[in-house]
Amino acid sequence: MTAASASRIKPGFRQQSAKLLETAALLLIIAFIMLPILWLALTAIKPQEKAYTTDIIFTPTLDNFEIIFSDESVIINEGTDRERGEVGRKMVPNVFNSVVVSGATILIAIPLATLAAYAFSRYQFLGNGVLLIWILTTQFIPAIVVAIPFFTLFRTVEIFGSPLLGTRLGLIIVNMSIVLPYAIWMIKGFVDALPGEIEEAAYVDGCNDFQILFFISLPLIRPGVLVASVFAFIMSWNEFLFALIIGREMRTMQVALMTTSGARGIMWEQMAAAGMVVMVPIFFLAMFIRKNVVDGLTMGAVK
Amino acid sequence: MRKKRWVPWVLVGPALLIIVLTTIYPLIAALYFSFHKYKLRKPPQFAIQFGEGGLYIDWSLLTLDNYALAFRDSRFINSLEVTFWFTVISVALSVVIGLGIAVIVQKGGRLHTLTKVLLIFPFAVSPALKGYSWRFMLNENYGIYDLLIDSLIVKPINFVLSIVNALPLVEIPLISESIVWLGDKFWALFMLAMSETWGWAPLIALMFVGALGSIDEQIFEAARIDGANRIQIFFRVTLPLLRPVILIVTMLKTIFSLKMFDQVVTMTGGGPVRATQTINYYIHQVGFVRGLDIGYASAQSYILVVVLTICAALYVSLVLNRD
Amino acid sequence: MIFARKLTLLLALALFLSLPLGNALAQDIMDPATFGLDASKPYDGTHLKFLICCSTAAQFASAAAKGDAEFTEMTGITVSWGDLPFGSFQEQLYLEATNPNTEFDIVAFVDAWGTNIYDFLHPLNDFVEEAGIDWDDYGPAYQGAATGLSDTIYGLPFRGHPLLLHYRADVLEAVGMDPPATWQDISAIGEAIEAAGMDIAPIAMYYGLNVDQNLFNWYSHLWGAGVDIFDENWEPSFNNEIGLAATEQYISYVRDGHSPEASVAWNEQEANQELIQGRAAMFIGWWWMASRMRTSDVSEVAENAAFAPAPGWEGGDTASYGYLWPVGVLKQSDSLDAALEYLKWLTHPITERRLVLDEEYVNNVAVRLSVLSDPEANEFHDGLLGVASAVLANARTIPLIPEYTEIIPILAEAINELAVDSMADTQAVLDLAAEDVRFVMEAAGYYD
Repeated sequence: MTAASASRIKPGFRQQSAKLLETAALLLIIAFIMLPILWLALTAIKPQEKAYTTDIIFTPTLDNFEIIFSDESVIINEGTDRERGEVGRKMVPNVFNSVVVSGATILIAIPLATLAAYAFSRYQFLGNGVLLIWILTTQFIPAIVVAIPFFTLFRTVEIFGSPLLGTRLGLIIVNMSIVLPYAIWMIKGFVDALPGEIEEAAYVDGCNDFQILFFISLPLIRPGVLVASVFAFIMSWNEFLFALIIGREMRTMQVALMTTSGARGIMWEQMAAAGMVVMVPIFFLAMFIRKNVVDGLTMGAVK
Repeated sequence: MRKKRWVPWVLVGPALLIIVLTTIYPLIAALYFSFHKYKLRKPPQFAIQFGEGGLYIDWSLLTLDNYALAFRDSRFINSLEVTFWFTVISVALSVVIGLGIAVIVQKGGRLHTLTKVLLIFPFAVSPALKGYSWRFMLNENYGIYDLLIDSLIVKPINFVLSIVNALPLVEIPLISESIVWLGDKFWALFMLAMSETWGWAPLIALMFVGALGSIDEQIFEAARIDGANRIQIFFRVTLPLLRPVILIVTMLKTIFSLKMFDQVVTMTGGGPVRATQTINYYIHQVGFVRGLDIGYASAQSYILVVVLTICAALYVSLVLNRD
Repeated sequence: MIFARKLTLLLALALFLSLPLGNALAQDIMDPATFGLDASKPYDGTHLKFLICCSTAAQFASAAAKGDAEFTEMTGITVSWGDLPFGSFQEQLYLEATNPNTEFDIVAFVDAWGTNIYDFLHPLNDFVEEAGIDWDDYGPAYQGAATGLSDTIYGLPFRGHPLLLHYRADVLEAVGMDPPATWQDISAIGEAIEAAGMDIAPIAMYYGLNVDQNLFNWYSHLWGAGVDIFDENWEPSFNNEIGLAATEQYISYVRDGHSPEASVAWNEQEANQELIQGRAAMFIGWWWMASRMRTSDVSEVAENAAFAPAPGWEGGDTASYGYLWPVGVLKQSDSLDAALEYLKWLTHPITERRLVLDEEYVNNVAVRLSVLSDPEANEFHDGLLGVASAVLANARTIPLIPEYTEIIPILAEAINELAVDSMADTQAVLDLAAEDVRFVMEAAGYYD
């Protein structure tokens, strides 16, 4: 082998090994991200006696899902010598609570946020810049500070004859504090990106402010509003502290995760099944707004 | 341009009203509570009262005791320390790992694209669930993380160590293969920060991917022509260009770390001993679980508000300076 | 498992033979007069909400089912049992019970937690007298746990647990040792098991922080050695010389390797799993573990399941924590009288006896001395109730002052610290804990 050919091979080899290293790094990243998720998914379909092992070979079962949703005892391992009854975890109402609370939160927050975002984007008014920054900083208030006064307030404030504490409505109100500011910032980003010429043209043609907003601008930013809605839904779906302190007995799924403990401590296979219920719908939603999550979380600060 | 001055206020009004009610009201109320002796086990007595003569203030009911108590309370001081270390570790790990991931996945290629898509997944896992799943996976008997750490990290290191020890030179103690991760003060805090990192590093990576994408490719090209290798390019070109974004992301993550609560409840329960009792967790314990001391919990949370206000101010100035 | 099935069969046969008697009993329990209930159904249609956790607990499931079928039939009162997760029960209990607008009527609480809600509980002294409830049927430990430091009865004993030693008869036999009568015996047995090279942990302790369970056996050590948490001036005394010796003994099981290293993070459930799975030879915990051990999937465990009173202190006392869940009525309830009717039925000796004889929801939890000494109940539970009643005679309760709820985590953390950090100096850790305890007591004005 001549020196010339050796030097020709060398960069190729170096390139190849660099590529190999990069592939290895990518696989490592994938493993880092996916392991907890896959392991939870696997545990959710494991039979009870396998949940407390690291075995990955087992007969998949849907027993755990049956147990967490059932409101009576579920017989598992039927016909074997390990046959036993497991008390159902009655989580259907919890799912319902999560859906209603998150759904109602966005139904209220998104229209209001859209109007406000539009105003912040399109109008110059006294203090609008400061207001916008102030809205951003409300996100830095620790949730516990919001929870304590609302907890004491909701014990005494009654609506429809019962105190707000432990109601879905109470939880929806408090969720506004985290959802609204994000939604305003997110939607404002979409309005900002919309060229103003069409609106100007409409204005010249004699449309008033509200006609422009509702008939021209809103239809154009609909995709952005949808993204913000999904983002807000995920935020209130995953919310835990308010659900714990304000939601109380009206448990959402996040708090219901705590109900999977029993005689063996936490019943991991049931926790995993409940975890799937919490997680899987959000995966789809998250994929849908994948490109906007960063803008949402940073309120557009990192671009 | 459009003239009607009242229009923006009509549009902003409802949202603003709700934000004020859901954030300013609690800030004022918590401050008010913090100057009272207010435990749930007795009906509270507030300084502002409605008597026969209308509204009056009973000054004797106002007290600074709750604040004085906080700085003498070893458990509160502990929670400040824990929060500090949790924040430092989780921010450092999240930003460094996030940056590393971003640099690797940023280029084209099928596997790169797939990884970029997967980066969003941890965002979908709620913090409460994150805590439970990490606790499960770190279990010393049946946890998958425990198994992987032992077989991929601890055992190989011990293997090397035992070879070194076989030489009659030095005697290095082997690493324990039976570490109870959540039963050890250091490891529990570290793993709590790791679980936070797992959720955040991919998101931070996404933030950096965006920032990296906006850097002009010609700058890299020029550096390459000047003979810089990849490591040099990273430290001399990429990093300085990313500096503003890194600062913003670091500050943002610091704020999120200071607010972290859910995982402590579901992963460690504050233990072992007091090693993972963050300030939010301790406030929750004081206010709702143990002493039912709303006054004291409010005072503590106000101390947190002060810290977060400083962070928020820093963050806002960073963001504004960048524009 | 097989044992339980045989037992069930046997009992079914016995029941069949005594059918006429059974019928008579069935009528009895459907007669309001049996329980002193008002037969005119004055509270017909009232709905009561019961603040309680853990619908999976067999005792609760049994009582809830019987209440639906029988109590509701007799009185027209319906009762819905809450099902709060035990992990957050303390918090939920406080926040509901102190809520001026709570919708709950009846509340079950752990004795140690009750002090925070005493002001919200309806005193039951008059009720006990008027309803003719035999207060002396509850032993002194449970009486104390239901009244706190006063004479006020805040709740009626409903669920109570003496601490028992659960052990593997075969393992102890193999090393030629009797079940330990003292804590010091446990160390000796531990050494014997290790010397014999048996592949089993001598004891599964629980030093973890979860729900403060790591204090239960510590109390037994302190009291056995002769010291309490506080002296008569409410100064912490657990860190004195006797307390130090008791604590060092308590922590020695893990430090000497008799209890697995992981026990520093275990709670009671995780520790008892070790026994049930055959990985540990001894475990000291609630008595209802006995049936769990007997029905273990591991045959050596099931066949060699045995229990005895929890050990005492060598040359000292034998005392342990009698852990009680009283059931009380909230002052905020709009249905006080209906709630009291329910208490009559729920805590009646006939009901309590029927719960421990329930074959569908097998459980042994009884709190009345008359039920604990009932021959049929003892036969059904292999004499467990009798042993428990002997333990209860020496049982004590913890300092039931409101501040104790703030002190418990300090103590639990100190114990956890000693377990987690094998190098920690016991005296120093106890002194620091005592300082923190003084801090709480001082703020509450105990030393003014």
